[in-house]
Amino acid sequence: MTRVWLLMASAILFFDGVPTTLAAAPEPVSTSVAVSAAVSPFLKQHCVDCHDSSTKEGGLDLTALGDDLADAGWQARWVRIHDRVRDGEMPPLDADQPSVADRSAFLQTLSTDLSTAHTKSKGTVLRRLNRHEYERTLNALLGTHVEVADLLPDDGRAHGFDNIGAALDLSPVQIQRYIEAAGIALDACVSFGPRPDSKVQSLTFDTGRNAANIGKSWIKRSDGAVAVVTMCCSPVKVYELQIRHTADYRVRLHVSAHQSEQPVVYRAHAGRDFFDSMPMFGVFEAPPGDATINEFNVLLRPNETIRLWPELPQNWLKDTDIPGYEGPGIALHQLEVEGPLYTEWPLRGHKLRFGDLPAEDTGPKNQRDKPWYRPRYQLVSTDPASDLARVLPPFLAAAFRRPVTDDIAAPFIAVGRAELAEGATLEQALRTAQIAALCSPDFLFLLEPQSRLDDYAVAARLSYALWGLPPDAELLDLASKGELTHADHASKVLRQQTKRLLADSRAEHFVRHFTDQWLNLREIDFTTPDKQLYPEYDRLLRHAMLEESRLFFAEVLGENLPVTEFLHSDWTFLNERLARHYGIDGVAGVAMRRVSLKPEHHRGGVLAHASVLKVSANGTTTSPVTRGAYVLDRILGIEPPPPPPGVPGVEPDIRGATTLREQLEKHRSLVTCNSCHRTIDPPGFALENYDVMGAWRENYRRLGNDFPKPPDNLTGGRNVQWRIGPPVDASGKTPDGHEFSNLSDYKQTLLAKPETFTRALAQKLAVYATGRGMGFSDRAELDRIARVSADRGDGFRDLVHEVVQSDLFRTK
Amino acid sequence: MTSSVTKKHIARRTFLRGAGVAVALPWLDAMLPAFATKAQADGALTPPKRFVAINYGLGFHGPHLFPQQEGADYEPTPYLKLLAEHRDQFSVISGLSHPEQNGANGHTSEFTVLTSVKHPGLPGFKNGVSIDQFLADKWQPDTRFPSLVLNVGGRGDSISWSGTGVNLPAAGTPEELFKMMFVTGSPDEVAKQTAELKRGRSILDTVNDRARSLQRQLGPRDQEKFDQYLTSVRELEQRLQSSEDWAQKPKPQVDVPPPKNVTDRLDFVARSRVMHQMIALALQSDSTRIITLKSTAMNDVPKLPGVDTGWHDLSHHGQDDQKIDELKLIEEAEFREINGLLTLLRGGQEAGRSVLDSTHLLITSNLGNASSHSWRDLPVILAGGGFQHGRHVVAGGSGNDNARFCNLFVQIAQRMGVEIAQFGSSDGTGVKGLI
Repeated sequence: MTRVWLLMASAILFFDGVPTTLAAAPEPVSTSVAVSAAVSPFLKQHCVDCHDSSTKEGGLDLTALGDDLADAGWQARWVRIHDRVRDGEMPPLDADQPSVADRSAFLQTLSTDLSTAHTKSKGTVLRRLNRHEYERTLNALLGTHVEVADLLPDDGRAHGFDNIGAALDLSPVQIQRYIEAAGIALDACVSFGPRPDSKVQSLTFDTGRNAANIGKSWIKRSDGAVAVVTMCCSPVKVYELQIRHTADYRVRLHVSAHQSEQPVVYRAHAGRDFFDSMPMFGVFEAPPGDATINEFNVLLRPNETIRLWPELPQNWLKDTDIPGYEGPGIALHQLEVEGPLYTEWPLRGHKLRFGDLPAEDTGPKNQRDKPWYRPRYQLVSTDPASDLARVLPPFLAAAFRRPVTDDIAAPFIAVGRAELAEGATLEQALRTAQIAALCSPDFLFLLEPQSRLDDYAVAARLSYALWGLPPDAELLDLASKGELTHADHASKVLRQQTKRLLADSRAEHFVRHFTDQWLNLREIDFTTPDKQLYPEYDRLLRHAMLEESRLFFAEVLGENLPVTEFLHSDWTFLNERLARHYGIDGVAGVAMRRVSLKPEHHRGGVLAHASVLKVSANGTTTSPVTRGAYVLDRILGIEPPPPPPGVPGVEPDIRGATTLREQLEKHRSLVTCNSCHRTIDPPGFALENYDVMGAWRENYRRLGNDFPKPPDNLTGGRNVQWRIGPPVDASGKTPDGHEFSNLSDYKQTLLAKPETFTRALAQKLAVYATGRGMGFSDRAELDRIARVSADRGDGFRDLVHEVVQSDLFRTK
Repeated sequence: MTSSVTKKHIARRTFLRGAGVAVALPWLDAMLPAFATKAQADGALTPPKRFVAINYGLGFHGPHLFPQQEGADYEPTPYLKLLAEHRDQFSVISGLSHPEQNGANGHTSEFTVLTSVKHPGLPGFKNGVSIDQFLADKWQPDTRFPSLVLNVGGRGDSISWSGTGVNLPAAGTPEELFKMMFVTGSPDEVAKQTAELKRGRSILDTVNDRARSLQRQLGPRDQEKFDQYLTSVRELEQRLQSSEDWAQKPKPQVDVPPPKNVTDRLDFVARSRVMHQMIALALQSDSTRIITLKSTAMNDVPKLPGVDTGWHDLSHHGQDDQKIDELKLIEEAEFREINGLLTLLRGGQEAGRSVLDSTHLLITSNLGNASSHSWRDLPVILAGGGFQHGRHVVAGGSGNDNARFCNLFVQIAQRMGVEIAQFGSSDGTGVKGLI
């Protein structure tokens, strides 16, 4: 076996993007499959002249190419050789062309080898819950709201997703943290005694620590409200709020706009940390006139509180400026917080852990009427050993998401009994056994049999894909009856269940996680737009751009719109802030709503979403190569070849009149580089009219005095440091020869071949739903899905159904 | 304790003072048995060898780091000026990198900075063991912690990878580290901790039983992943056992106040400083002999006067002078903290030498030029370890002609007494000109 490195055809890529989270693990290697000797004559005759050890055209040396297709790296290279010959890109047009018969015989042989090799190694590798699924699963099981994901090490990712079995590793530290996290969750669900009373706390903003702000940065108004006109000095924090339980609370804020005819927008955050890391849970408006009540529910944990952050034009007023200030502010009248609002008591985890065992307060009887008295509950049992053996199996079945036999339960019962024998209480013994259950492979892994999945595995795949949760009672019931794999009607049942899960509010998980990973939105904060070049970027914009993409996805899904809406649409979701960013008039207020688009807005489809344009750029510059690679991977379903060794990346130079595009031209003029870049760069060129935060541009922004100042209509009258740089050229030519002058043109080339996108999207859905990468032998099934989908009108929800119905989903 | 040699050194045994840190000398304790012969005692008086590697994920601006001249008479660059007081204690080494680090994106070379596995993140990539874990495994030092894997943010990922190529999560915050190393609980707490460790082991026994019966039902492709589970359970069991043993031994005493975590994650200077103090304490107390630290790299604007642009964005300066100047402020602040670490390690004295003398301190980055994501021409500073320092060592040509970084790893391993001829992508056993 030859063993010299094969370099992929050259490319200049400087990916920006992924932070240093953990790398993808490879698909495991199984028995070797060698490339058939029958391909040799073709390679010798048509390829090796340029791709030999001395010329290595495009970095490819065929004389040194590994031929064991079981090696994932080599397999990927042979797939690329196959595809380039198939697409007629190789041999190059100026070389002697093989006969049609020779080409097809070569492809036939190679594709059989590749299919065989891939079939041998494919299948979802034993997949453990990732840390978010783990946390959600614990909380769903126990009815708790514990935050334990952060205790666990980062998860590996592969193919853009964080739920890929092969990339989800385990280490001793991870197991140790599982023990810790399980203990935290089990303790959190213990709910002895009566349900805690819900109380209303009514607070104003002029008391306690906030009183000191009155007369300085805050103004006490004649109607008793407190007006905040600047954020320079004191965050609006509710210090006196007393939260004792982890539960939902209903918040009613009485607010109005101060000295303003327009509503004043404010963000609401809840949590325990200082402002910057306190999660935001909503954006609201304080309307002009009398106090209005903004009501919202929020999950609070002990000692957490709420902070409000009005969006005000004056963030840096001095205290002395405040009395005479006539600009807008927010008037805070009153805050009511009602809770804890428990929907169940005791929590379901409590019932699961202790069954019907009664408990009694064992605290000293003579102190029970004291205000400081805290009851000390203990389980009551006359026969702890047999109670333990009775209570544990239902817990195990719920945790393991399938029925539990005596054999399976035995070691868990044994460890609990051993604890009892050493003098532990029944509660302690149950706790040890239950921690062991939550560290057992049955809980941590999605156990799937070889080849066809069983009912419980199908139930789990479906539920984790759409809800990110363990299967609910209905799915488990169907699984227990064998309905999910039934020879006659499994397809029908699966369709019903998919429909039911998608219609439920918990499908929000699918919308969010699939969208965020497909479009890489979770990296929205990987870079921060340069403050001098892009001063208008702010949190409200960041929030709105993410919302746009998620709401857009949910709409296409919910309405079963054609998948081509992702490529181009005459509508999107906007609020005032995002509409301003896009230069669209007539959208007022913070609420996101569906808005019709006109061609002159330069929007429509996900490629023109600010979020997509932001994550595919860095904070300073956009690179057609990075964005092109993004479109290739996420829209066209082509994993861009890696940049070859020995070729340095292009260094952006933002000082001068040379654009990155012009710098790239030098490389593109080299045949070697152009072989990949003719495919990678065009979509990137088409996106050049959008800057790093997704705003429309006709010229690049530059710093320095060599360039003219922008007019007011481009700056909104603000004093900015950026200048008008060289004009944007968004034109290009697709590899198959279609010329375009901007994104709008380019989208037409995509819409002309909708099946390419449908197939790419089906592939992403399949990767996400199965937890494995798709390979050579999956191509036929993905083609079939795309074809069926097209025949049915390309509805996106239908496509999701089609993927769930497919062999990809129903086999390991 | 009757040996005269022991008595002679008993004063040294109590406390060592240096740079405001006083630590008992536990390696002496551990290695010097009562009734030791003179030869044994002499042997024990050689301080243990140590290895520390720190990675700066966004690199350093090369022109401000690498001197123009080779050898001892180099003109110090802006960054090296900040280490001037320790000039004879370190070498700056240029011309090193790992081959073929082009990976899934511009920053994935951080996965492999201590492993050298090619093409991080691309199909077929599986990381290998990092040099620190390799050393810990070969060497098995008898310390409370076989190694300490740190992240300047406390928790999070690290630059250390296990023998099975799994990333090791960072050990904890400075407060947690201090507690782990130096705070002995009350007898009640120790008893509780011991009971907890025991309970942990019975939990692991239980899941091991269950896993063994489950294993028989798994197909061959799942076995590999399942082995990871079983190995993790087994290793954790051993670790808990070892922790139970160590829990019975008193922890070393230090007369420094416990550290305070720096909660402001933008305050990278304070964060580095306190983590460096923990590194110095860990080495001096012989809590461990192998440490890695993933230092700061952030997207946000770091807390530093004169800086109001995101760090990551500054690293993509695009040759803009203003940005490079701002970046310089950040990188100078980092070098001042590196200088602080050198001062701490030189201040710690043991058996008449500084802790730095027996420590191989490797300061590096996975990026030679972050602006273009170049993984060549890595910044490498090697301090301590008894080398002839004070020089700019040109280990290889620039760019494609770089020498192999792993050759330095092999040289360090050999210096530490771990006899290996090869590691990762090494093609030699040392760096040209480094002696």
